[in-house]
Amino acid sequence: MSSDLELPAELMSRPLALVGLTGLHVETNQTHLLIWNSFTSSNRNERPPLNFILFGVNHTFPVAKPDRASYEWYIPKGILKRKWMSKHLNQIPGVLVLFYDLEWEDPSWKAKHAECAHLIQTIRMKLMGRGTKLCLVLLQNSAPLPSSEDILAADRAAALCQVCELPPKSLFVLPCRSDHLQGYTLRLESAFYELCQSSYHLSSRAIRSHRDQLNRTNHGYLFVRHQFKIGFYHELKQDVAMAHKHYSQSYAHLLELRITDANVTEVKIVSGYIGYKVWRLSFLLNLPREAIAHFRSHMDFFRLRVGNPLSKFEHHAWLAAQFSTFGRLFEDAIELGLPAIQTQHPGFFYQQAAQQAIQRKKACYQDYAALEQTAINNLTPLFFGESSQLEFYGQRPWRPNRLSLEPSDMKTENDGITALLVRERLQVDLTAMIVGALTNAVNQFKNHRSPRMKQYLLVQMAEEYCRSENYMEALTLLEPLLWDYRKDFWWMPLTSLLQLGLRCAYLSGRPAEYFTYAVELCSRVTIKSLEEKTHVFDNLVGILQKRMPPSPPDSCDYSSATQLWADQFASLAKGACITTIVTNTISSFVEVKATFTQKQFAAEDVVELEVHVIYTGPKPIRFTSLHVALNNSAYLPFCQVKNSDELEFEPNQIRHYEFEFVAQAQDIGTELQIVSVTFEMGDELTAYLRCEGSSSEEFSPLRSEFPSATEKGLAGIFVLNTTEILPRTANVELVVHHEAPALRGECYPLHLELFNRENEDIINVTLTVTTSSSNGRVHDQPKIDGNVSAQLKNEKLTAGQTCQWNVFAQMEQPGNHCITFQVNYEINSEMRKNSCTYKSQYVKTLELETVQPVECEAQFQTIQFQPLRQIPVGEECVAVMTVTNLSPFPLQFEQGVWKFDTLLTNHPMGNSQLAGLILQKGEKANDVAVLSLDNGDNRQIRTGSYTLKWKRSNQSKVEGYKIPYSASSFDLPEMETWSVPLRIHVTLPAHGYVRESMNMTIVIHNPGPSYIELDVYMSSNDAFMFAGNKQIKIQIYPEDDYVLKYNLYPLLSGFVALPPLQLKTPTSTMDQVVAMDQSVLDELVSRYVPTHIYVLPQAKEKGKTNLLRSE
Amino acid sequence: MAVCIGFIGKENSPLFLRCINQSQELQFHYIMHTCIDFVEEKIIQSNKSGSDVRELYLGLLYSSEEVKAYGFVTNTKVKIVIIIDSTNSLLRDNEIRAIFRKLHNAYTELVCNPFYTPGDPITSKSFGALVDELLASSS
Repeated sequence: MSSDLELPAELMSRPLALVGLTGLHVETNQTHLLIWNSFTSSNRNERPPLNFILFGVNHTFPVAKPDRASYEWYIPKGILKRKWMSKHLNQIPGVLVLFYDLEWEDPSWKAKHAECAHLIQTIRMKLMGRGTKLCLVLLQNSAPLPSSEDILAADRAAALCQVCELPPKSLFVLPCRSDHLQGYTLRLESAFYELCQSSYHLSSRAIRSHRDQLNRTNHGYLFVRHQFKIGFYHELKQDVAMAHKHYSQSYAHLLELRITDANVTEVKIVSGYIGYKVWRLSFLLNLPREAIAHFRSHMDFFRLRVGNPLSKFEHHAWLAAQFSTFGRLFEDAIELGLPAIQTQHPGFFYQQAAQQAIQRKKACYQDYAALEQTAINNLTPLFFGESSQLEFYGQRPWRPNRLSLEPSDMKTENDGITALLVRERLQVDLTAMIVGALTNAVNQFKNHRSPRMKQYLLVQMAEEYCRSENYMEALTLLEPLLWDYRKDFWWMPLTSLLQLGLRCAYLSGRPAEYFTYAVELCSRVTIKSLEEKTHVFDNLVGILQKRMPPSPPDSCDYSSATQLWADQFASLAKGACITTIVTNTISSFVEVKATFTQKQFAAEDVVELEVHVIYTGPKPIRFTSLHVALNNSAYLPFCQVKNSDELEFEPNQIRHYEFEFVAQAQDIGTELQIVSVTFEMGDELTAYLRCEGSSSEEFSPLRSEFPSATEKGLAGIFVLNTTEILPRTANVELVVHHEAPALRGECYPLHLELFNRENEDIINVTLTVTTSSSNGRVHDQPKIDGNVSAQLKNEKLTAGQTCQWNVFAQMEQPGNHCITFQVNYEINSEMRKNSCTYKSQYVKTLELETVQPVECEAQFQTIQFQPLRQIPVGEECVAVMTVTNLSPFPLQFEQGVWKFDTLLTNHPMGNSQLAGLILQKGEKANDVAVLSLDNGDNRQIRTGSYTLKWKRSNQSKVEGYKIPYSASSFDLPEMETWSVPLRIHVTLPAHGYVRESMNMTIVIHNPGPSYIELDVYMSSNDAFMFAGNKQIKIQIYPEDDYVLKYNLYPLLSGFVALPPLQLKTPTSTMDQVVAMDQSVLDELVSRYVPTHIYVLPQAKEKGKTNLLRSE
Repeated sequence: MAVCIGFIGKENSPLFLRCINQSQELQFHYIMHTCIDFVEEKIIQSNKSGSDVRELYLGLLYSSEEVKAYGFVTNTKVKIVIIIDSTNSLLRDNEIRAIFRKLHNAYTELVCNPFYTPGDPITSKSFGALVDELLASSS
């Protein structure tokens, strides 16, 4: 039966209508070969679904059996005939085409057309009783004419049809010399396809017609067979829906059959075949739900129909085949675009297939074991021949062609099944089937987002490998699975997997794996009794003494395992390491937490390290040594325990170990990290248990630690996996003496005093002074320049002593500036009996306030100290600089230096008025320079700058240094120059007396190159009487003067107004006279002509004398 | 026929598992573990739908030839799974909901116990007795 479990190829292939071609001599005739190729060549997909077969002219077709007149006495012997499908797929064509070379105008037409008719007749005879349609294709060289015009052709065609007894539609002409052969054959193909369809339709009708003659009691098989055939014909004619319908009916008839032990195998096999067609077409018709439902009911119907109790293995084999067949159909449908979901996909079916395959194997092994050896020896497998030779699908070789209702011979039946069982047990690779099905299922579950289902299947696969003694594969599969279950704390599956691993490791003689699994099995998380754990623990300890563990109780062949273990032990020298277990990836019986006691240690401190260990194994244990590895291996000697008394643990005992060491110089400033804690155990052979902590997370009390840290034990211990070694703390003091605030631009002295408070001398002392501000400078000499940093050195400073430096800072901007002082030095210190040189660093920051020292304000004034808005050309004026001391300190000035524009002539004044002057806070001083502008016209000029050199007057504290003057420079304001058009000079006494006349002379000078005409008005006022021109018109030539003289007689005393002078441009002037603006004239007057004068009253006495004098 | 009832913690570790047939406990551990796949998928899908109020009862997780698994997720992401025999078609959706409600209440009561740390395996005897009773009554 096992060969019938595989679906036959003819069932699985897509049925194509068969077209037989005959009369083509492919070997001898090139044209015929061309035609044949054009039918069979490429692009089958785009052409009608046809299968072409070339038959020889003398080919004999399978002879059709004569139709039964009556089915009354006929009892079918089986359900589906083995050869029927392939016969219709490959041997009996739906359409048979005869190719014949015949031209319409052929000279020997008569003879040829008779021969053609004869050929047709012969073929017709051969296909007697079949529904095959015949066609005749005439191969002609001449190009065809439209049929209506070619009367000869029409006549002869009709004659040919008549003589061949063919309908006119079955006669074709193929112009084989044409370039468009492919086009013609395509048209022929569609014609053949239509003929095929009608041929198959007729065949199915013929079968249907038998139905009335059948009765239910005897012809159940025929109901199934006929519906299947009709379905198949429909499939051949590509009518999928009808085919599906008939296959379903056929399946329904099948379920109506009486199923006995004798025919159950056949019914199951055939139901699988018909089911296959039904499901496949359901998927094709996009009815996946229907397919699944049909399959489920199929399984439900047959699940418990085992038949002969001995053939249980066959039943499971059949079930497995059903599931895997359906799984594959489902998978194919998904590949063609059917969407699958997580809960409904082929994986489930493959999984069931695997389950059934496992059951099959189990049943097979059980039944085989139950057989008596003699019974096996008496049988030769295949005694009854191959079932594939039988006429019907699914029948027994030992019971061929027997009616199912006949009582079966139990002896033969049992012998037959036993023979199959023996063959199954000895020849069939059941493991490969199971693993294959599981692999398929794994792929599906992986694709459908079910990782845990996948794990479960892999577990089954590992178990299967273990059963089939393929221990290597089993162990390989197991390794990642252990992690998967361990990660989420599924201890029971983990325990079972570990036991499986232990068994595989034992049977394949692998001490390292055995040891690893045993360590985990002994931990507290596994679900095993203390007794079992103790047993495992003893084995584990035994391995280290080269003692082979006892065999598992159910293990059958441990002789080979014993040998393997002996070999393994022999190859290991005394003390050799069998394995290193990384315990924080498994749930080991030793749990470790290693921590530094502090986050940071200073370089001179002792680094402290604690290791906490809890042992959860079932029996006391004694380790050989304990090492703590840091990222610098130099500390290893300080971090180990070698005394095994301290490494003896009772179950559930916690021990603490403390380690101390001094950090090495090269580790200062870096991080120390605990890399791993390693236990060594055993002496004959050794094993290492290593707890790694590559990052602080793995030692932290989070989930990643195994086993669950929430349990008691080490739960409360916080882990610092890394520690930082800080540089040594400096013990020096730097005092900065200075007089804040600093003045801008000043060479500001800072007096530094470094005090060594260390117990030892310090050497190589360097002090680096840095300003943070970009426009600040420091220097170790009192100079007005420097860099952003300065360095000072001292070779050695004895303990308790001080050393002193001076540095000078210069700040270019007011505001707060930071100055950083960094002291680096080295010190030799005795630490734990070894002298060590430490580097230390001391940093101090000074915030320095900087203020503006002086304020300077410049002004231009007339020689009379009247403010000037413009500098007049050709007149003297003064520049006045007002210097204010803004600083809180008295300032001493060296000098003020004027620097004027070259246009301005400076009248040398000797020393600056400010030289040597000391200004207290807030005081002001003026510096004056006289200058004149010799020529020029009206424009803007840059007048120049003023530089003031100054320093603090009381800066005597800095010994040995002379502080230079600092220079502050100020720009003088920009001024307009003005070439004056008229110059008026008024001569007047400094004061007058009441009623005493005085003279006033007004000289008007024309400095310009042109002639001037002016009206002069002198108005009277209350204070004065005057004599002179009250109104006059004057003309002045270039470089000429005009003199006006007045005699003034004051009437009032006091600061009285003079009679106002007014100049006007005459209303009617000649063209060449320069007209002057009235406003300019007014300004000139107001500028040159005094407006007021002091008039003193007459003293009475004096008045008399005056009177006398006048008399 | 409910054959197994299991509680799975929010980090997918088993909290409690009780089945009728003690000899199948290991197998049910495996099956319970596979149920997490389907529970997670259902939660993702219900999150996608975006409604704030999530139905705690997840319905049928999957069915195989042997068993059907039904799921329930509390708001604290504790998963409850009931596994019933595939051959049993008597147990209706309503009844399964009712069992889940009882289990949820029992769990709520358990969490109220100050001596129980949520996330630890459940060892409470009264809780175990209650689950046993439910298993027995539904079978």
